[in-house]
Amino acid sequence: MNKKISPMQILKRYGIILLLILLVVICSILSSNFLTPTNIFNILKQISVVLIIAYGECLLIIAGQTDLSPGSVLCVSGVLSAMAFVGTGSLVLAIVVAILVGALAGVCNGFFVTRYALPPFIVTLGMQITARGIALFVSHGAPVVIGQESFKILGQGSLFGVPNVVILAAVLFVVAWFVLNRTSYGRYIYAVGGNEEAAKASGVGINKVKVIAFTICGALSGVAGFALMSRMNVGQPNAGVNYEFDAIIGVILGGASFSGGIGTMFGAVVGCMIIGVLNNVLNLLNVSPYIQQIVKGLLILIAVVADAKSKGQGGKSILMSKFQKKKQEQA
Amino acid sequence: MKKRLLAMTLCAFMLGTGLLTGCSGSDDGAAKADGGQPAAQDRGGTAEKLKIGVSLANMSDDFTILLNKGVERAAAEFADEVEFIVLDGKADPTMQLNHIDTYLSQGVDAIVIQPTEADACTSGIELANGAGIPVVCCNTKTTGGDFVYVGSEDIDAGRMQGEWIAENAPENATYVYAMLVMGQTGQIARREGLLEVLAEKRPDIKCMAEQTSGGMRDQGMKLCEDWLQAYPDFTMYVSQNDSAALGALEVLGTAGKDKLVCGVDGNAEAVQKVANGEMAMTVFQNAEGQAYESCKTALQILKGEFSGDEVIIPFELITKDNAKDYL
Repeated sequence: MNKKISPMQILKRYGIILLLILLVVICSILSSNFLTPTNIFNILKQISVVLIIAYGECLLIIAGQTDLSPGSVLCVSGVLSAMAFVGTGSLVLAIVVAILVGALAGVCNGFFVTRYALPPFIVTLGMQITARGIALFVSHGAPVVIGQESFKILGQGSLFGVPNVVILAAVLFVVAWFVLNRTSYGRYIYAVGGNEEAAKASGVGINKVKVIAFTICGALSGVAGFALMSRMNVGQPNAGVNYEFDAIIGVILGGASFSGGIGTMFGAVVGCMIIGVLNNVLNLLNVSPYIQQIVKGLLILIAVVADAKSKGQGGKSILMSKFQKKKQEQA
Repeated sequence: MKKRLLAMTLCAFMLGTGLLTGCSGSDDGAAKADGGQPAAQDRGGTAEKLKIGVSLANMSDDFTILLNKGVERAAAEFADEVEFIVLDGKADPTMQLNHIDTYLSQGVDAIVIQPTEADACTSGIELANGAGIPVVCCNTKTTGGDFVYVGSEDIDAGRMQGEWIAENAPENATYVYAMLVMGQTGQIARREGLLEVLAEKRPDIKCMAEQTSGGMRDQGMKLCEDWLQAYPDFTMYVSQNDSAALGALEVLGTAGKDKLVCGVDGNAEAVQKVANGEMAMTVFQNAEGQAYESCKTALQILKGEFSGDEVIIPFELITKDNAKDYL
């Protein structure tokens, strides 16, 4: 597939970076504590868990799918991983458990979405509730207390002054960027999201592409779960609520479209950074919690408007285009 | 094949929701988590056992799980006299209104409810009042209806934090304040209690910032990181619950900063940290005792042994001196 980038898209891509730069400039004027190395690392540390989920969401959204379960899946993976660590003391096993549990949840999502042609929204919502239930059930609702120091190496340690969890998020970004831009699988993702029928006609195994994308998203949620629990130094069964929404908003702010076919990894990262910077500066300035909520709500609206714009069809296009797509499929 | 898979999916979903709702309610034989018992049964003259319906706010929540333990203790202790039925409100007041309907049609003798919301649950209590069934509100008061309240006064938790700070904070100390979900009774009352005591005893102490952690550990961490940037010299991190305070301790530990950290709840990890001297203090809220007393009070009302309109289970201050007693 040829990747032709229209001037509109170029503007969009740079537009989001300009927005981030503008935000950073405003923030550093408003708060003298903002543009310090420690604070920058704080922001990166705070968004790294959401970022890791966002890579998976980005793949799915470009493929025309979505996943509402990562917040819960990361929780169940993290809790089981913490339990595995407490039981055996093996950090490797803990990480393997987290990734496997996450991937398993992703496979289930992908299976139901493709096998029965169900809307991802409902399937992953079911997974969200189920996974949260399992996390609460296995931990009896109480936090899994970690006794040993080694568990928090990833979440709280740092290498040459850079927090380990930020390094992890950066490494995963490179991998995710490579997969999306430099492999045939990445091209299939764009093809499936852009025009499913055409992709099918040209011999792309659509279901396989989708199941793999869900599995990647699940596995990344597992990694995110381990990272979060390690950062908190506990297996907390009520953690990670609504993390998927931060990730999805970040991806959409970054120029991806719910209609599929459009989006970049880089944009997703910039989108998540905008959310992270906003959250951080609102706290630095001690803005009232009520107003913080309003600001975050407005951000979602902006993201949706950006989504509509990216389709170049005005406001109501998102739902409409979904319906049209469905009609075309039925026809 | 298709049918079987469909059935399996349905089972998985039911299992999932089952795990959410009944995770700890139905273990004990006496506390039945199933509302489907025929109402006619007790009229059949099997026994003159009393029936008390319990509606808990949210069994996915740590605190409610502790409450349920208190219900289970009461159910075991009074098994000869009472049958307790327990339902989970899943943090939804409408669900609790349904519970009350169910209990009334089942013909229970008394209702114990931990209201999810002070306003929304009122109509359910009025419904029970209309049917002449006594109601005990556990942990949270509703704004209307006739009931006996069994629980703690949230304002006291704030006051206790305030008293401790007043005695122990250095002169001109500053604090940052991590609150529960905005608008919750606990958030409003604990803040009120804290501010009241500090205004009276230590006007020199200044609040640098107050935000909501939603009671979550990860949010408590974020706030602590941001506040260390904005107000690096603050003396105390005061939290309305232990989870957020424990999150702050993780951040302070990594950053190598030494601040006084105060919480509320008295959960196991926090008590351990208070005993170790890492955390300054916490306030123990006796959830298990609240629920146990609620059930016991309901029974006493039925036997005509209770008069009054509330039973207050006091908060208990935990500091390094007495933390070992709570481990």
